[in-house]
Amino acid sequence: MRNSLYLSILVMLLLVIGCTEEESETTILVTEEVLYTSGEQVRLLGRLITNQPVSASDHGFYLSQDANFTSPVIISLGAKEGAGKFIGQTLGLSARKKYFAKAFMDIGNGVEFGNVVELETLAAGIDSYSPGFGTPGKEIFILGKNFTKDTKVFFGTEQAQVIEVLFESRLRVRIPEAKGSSSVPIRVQSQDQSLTFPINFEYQTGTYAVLASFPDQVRLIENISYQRDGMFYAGLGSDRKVNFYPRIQQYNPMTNQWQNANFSGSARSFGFATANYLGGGIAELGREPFIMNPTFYKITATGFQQLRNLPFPVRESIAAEINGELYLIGGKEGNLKGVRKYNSSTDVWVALPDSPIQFTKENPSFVYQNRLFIVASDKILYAFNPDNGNWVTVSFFPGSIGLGNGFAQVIGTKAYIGGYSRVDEIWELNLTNLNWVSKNPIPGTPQSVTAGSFVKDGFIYIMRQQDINLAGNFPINFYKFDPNGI
Amino acid sequence: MKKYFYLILFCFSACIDPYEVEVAQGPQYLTIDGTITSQAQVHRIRLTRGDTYGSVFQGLIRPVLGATVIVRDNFGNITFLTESQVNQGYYDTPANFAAVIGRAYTLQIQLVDGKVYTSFPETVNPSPPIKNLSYQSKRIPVEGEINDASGVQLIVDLDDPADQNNFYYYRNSEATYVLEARPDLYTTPPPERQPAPKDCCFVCYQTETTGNQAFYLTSDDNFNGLSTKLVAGFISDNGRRFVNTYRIDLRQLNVSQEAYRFLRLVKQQSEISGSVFDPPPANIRGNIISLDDPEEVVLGYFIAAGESQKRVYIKNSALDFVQNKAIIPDDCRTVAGAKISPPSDWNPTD
Repeated sequence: MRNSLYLSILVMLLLVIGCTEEESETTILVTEEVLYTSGEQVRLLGRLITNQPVSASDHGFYLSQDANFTSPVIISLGAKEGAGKFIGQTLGLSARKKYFAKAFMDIGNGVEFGNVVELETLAAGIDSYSPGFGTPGKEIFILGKNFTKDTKVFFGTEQAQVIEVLFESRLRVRIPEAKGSSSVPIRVQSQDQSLTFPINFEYQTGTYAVLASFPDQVRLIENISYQRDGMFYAGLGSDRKVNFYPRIQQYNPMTNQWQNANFSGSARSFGFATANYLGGGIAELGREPFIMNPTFYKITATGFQQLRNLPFPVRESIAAEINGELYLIGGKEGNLKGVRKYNSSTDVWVALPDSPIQFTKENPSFVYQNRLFIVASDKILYAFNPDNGNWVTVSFFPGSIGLGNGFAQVIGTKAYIGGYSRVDEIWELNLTNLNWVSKNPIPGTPQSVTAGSFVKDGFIYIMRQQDINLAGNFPINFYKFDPNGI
Repeated sequence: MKKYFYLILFCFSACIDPYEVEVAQGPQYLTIDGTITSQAQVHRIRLTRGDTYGSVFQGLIRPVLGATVIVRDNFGNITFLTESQVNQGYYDTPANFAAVIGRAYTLQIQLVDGKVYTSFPETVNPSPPIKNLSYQSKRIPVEGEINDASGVQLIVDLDDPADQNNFYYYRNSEATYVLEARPDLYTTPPPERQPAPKDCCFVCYQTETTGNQAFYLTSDDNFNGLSTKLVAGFISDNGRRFVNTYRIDLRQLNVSQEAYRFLRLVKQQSEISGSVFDPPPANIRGNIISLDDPEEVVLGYFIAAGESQKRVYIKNSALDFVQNKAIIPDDCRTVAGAKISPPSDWNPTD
């Protein structure tokens, strides 16, 4: 009986042992995900799943343009111990091509492969560039996508230096020297793709030629300047606010010479002048309240014809002739927002509706298509239509207005505004599309201020001198500015 | 004898020490939380680093600063996110950014230490329009309390498209409600506490962002291609919100299957109550991976989803049950964020 019991226990034990199955080895290699694809880069995620300790002498990915993986690109990640994820990355692929990829692992008994995945490298693209203008040597950014490492950039025919390719989508580029034209297309060459922006890049232009200096050794401020019959005129005002400068000097751009214009009227500061009228300002240098100079002149081919005195005080008003009629805007006396029109046939001044804000001579102004444009002290560009008395805002001056007293001149469909006190910037405003473009800065020291500006034959003439706060004797420099010069 | 008894009792009571859990300093995992949708607006990605959690917080959850964060679609178009100057650790897309339906997006992050992280591509699926958004009041019994808690449940009426497998995730957007106050009951500050009724103002408009206290997400496995009603949100009643009119925009995100799985696991884990029927604690893996070390644990998920929105004005008169009105005995403008004028698009007759 006992033997039977032992035998039964033995049989039971054998049965139990017989039921224990050894777990089979499971090792799976998976090409799990294409994490990233660009023009030339691919990033792949693989995973080794195993329930056994595995030691691979190498692992990674195969990439090939054909499904049979003939002459593949091998991304070798080296030895690997145990299960887990791995990421492989490669550069230098061809853009816009289909590739096949699979993970591989070498565990000693031959190379094992994972599943095959398909991917396609992407095409390069361009979106924009910024800024839209600049000078040689400065940097611009080109925004786009899938730029390859060998990307080249051309400004017209000139190749630019690509400083950096950021995230394959931003090119930091140094602007090359301008050759021939100031407006050139930007072309991006990425592998075999050539992409050109539809809007040209504008080189920042503007050259300056030095002309004959103002004849007198003065620091001319609060003066007037105007031009008529091809001659430029500047004068009156004061020398450093100490003494009146009683003369008006005439400049002949044909001979590059200055001569006295023989102004017979009284000296003044803060007066106004246009091609045909001159007047106003203060009669004595000093502080407020000022003694006004009400004399008013018509400028003729032979000299200055005195008219009836101004019936209102005029100090630092903007003067402009629109359609042959004189307008005085704002100023620092009386109605600060006043707009007055002079009827030359009746010798009567008519008050028009006030301007929306106060303007003074410190605000540069110009006339274009019978409208008066003024850059306000808050940089907003206003336009005044004398036909209906309406004021509208049209743009925003992008530059610095320094201490005021800039100039504005028009050549064709472009206005040039700048030369503010202690600022050397000049900006070009395209009056057809209201785009602003920076021009090359005015030469001279940072303390320079403008004493006058003129325009003739596509050039702007600028009188610049040192601020009166600068001690010493300095000439009034006279420059001929070519806005398109490179 | 009695004296000795108290002495022994005192000795035992003195032996009770609080048990403090000592937790070893754990790694400070990078946590990424962000969603982009097909709605044109600022989308935010939040980067933080977690810290060790013990019987007390042993560290602070710190924002990750100075990272370069980009969102890239499967055509290579890149959008740079800018670091918020107000909320540290938040990175914002441009204001008009909208994910394009059908495209796959990846989030890429480069930290100041040079480490690079990327998400798996997330495809943006279209979100069907919400046909109708209704609401009903809901009472919630609270153990040990006489009065029930309550709130308003949002119910979505939806025609689920048959041609795709959808995973809906509902989120509350900014809400505005009429805030009623009683300035006529104003009293001077203590110790005087004298009645000093004010003439203004009885009615203001309060804007707030209330997150759902629970996750509202569902897959269309049981109603694919059918019309259905879904509970999509809950707004608790604090005695102020539903006194008059409450407006909320409900966002319906159609997330990927992987995102749904992640959110469902987070929902399960967040709803663990200690019961024996709870699911076991799990380590939830997100869709962010370190390029430098694929085995590095990165928490969180980058979601890219199609979005549709619906606005509802919840009227007090249409609710079966609301909490007793909370009295604000002062000018309603004294409540932080309250404004006297309604939003420009306030139109309760919609």
